[in-house]
Amino acid sequence: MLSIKDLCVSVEGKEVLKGVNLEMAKGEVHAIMGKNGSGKTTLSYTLMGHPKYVVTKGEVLFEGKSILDLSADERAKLRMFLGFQYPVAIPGVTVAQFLRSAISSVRGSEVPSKDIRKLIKKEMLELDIPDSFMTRYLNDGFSGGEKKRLETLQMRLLAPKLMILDETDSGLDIDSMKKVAEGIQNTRSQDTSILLITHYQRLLDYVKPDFVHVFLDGKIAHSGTADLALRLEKDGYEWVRGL
Amino acid sequence: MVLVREEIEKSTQKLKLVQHLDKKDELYKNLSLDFASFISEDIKKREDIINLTAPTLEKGEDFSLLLSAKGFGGAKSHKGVHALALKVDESLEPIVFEQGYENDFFVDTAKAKWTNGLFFRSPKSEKTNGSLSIVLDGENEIIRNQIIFSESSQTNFLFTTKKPKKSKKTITYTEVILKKNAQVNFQFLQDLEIHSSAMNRFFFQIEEGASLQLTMLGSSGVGYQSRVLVSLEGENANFDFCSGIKGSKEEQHDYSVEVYHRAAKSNSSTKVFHVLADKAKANFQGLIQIEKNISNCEAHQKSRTLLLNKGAVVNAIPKLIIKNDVVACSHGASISKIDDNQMFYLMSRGLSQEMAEQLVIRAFLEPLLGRFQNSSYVGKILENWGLSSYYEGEDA
Repeated sequence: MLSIKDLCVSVEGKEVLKGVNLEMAKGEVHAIMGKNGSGKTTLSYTLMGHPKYVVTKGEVLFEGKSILDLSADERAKLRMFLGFQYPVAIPGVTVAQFLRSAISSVRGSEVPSKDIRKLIKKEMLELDIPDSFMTRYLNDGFSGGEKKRLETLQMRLLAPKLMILDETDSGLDIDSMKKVAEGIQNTRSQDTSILLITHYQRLLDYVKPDFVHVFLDGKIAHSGTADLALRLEKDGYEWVRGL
Repeated sequence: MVLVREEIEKSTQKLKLVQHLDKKDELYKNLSLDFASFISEDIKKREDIINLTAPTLEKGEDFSLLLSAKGFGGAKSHKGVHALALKVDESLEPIVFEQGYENDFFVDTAKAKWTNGLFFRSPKSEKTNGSLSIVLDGENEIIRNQIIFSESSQTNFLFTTKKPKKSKKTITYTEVILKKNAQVNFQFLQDLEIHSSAMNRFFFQIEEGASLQLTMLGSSGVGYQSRVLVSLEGENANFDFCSGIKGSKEEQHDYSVEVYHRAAKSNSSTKVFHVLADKAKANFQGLIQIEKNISNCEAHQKSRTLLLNKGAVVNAIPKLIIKNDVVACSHGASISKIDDNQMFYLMSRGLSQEMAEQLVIRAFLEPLLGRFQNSSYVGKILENWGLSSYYEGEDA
């Protein structure tokens, strides 16, 4: 599904990723954990094609094809999805207007225009999102929990093959996190892969990873199974440096 | 009062007929002035005009006119002219005003100025149902309008200049008077042909307790000049203004809004939005003036500009002349570019760069566009701006 080879990335002239290697197969859930500033968010933005993040070396293949020359919208149309840690507010654009544009852009004829409203309603009901969301401006004045629930709604509506979830659990209380985690878990299937970036073990209690990777100084320093997350929770990250 | 508003849409032309009668139909029987004489047989035969009525008037009857696609006719009454729109064309002749009305100023003004344009006067203390929509033919090069909103009337007034068929320079001169306690939502739309230019002059006189919400939107053309002068004449007069321009290529747009507070406790708010692409240039000059003996006023003025390219330029010159200390006034100008993070967010959801940019522009203009009731002309203007697909069908 996703193959990252020796990926080096600079932001405003500063090298942040220093040779990331990662292989993800279809249906797998990979968790990336690491300290603040270790490059986790840079990886997620680079994978989705933010123009500010410049790839200086390496390759990223999605379903066997290089995506580095593709713009963010082209990657979205391949069914890659980035769940933002801090979704940006766009006052003046309603959630309804935005969702309709996004669904028709990504899913095209798969969801006829007449069915878009029905689809949105159905998913909102499942995520327990009130109708009032639709007339509000996108992420404008939303609480942390509301933003993340809207991200989860978008993820479900756009039916991605690869979900890159950047600290989806940050800023959420336990109840909100459970709802978001359920949303992710329900989207999980044999055909989808999830790259879960998180600081904490608690989200992984709900969304069980197949592999856990530790990010240190711009690259993956250590990898393991779900048990690795438990040790990181207990001992922190520094012990990985000594390996 | 009977107010009938009909919109007639045929395959190629969209017409608006507004029939606005101050008295019940039966009162028009046996009236002495036969308005029908002003309507030619050719007009009567046109299939695209239906329900065309030609009321006759008797001295002493109040009257407001019906409007049609190609030109307007008008009539007078003993008590005064309540609505008159004049366009000299082959089928309708303007009515010559006579002296002796209750307010000679209007009559003299009409005589002196008008060859094309609109005269409208709302009935006193009347509230219009819905919007009163007036559509002027854009083929006229010089349009002079005079609009009076009578005491304690409440009116939603949508005033549109249609897109001309050929490129030309259009000049409009519009005087609007709000009598005491009139409440008016006035929307001005000007749809220009792409090679055309427009020069608009507006003068608004707002009397005691009257309130004007004014919204203006013009399509680009090659140049757009607007000068808006506002005189707040009475206590508690209120002026709330919002307008927008989008410029591209090498267009130049000049916008000037001058608000004169001539009475205590009067309020004004001015917001002007520019969206500039390519090498377009906009010059905005704003003025708030409050004299020494005028106190307890509140006046705010803001210019917001979104620059889409490095070559686009805005000169925003806000100016305050405040001679009284007991006032609350502010002015400001902001210039921004498209937010990269907003663009990335939208594009990460599959929207193309062009779509995302249009949506961000649309969001920037929302405080302006949100004031318009849905109108096909707003859609057409936004289409010229490349934003139409995001205006229509925005229901939740």
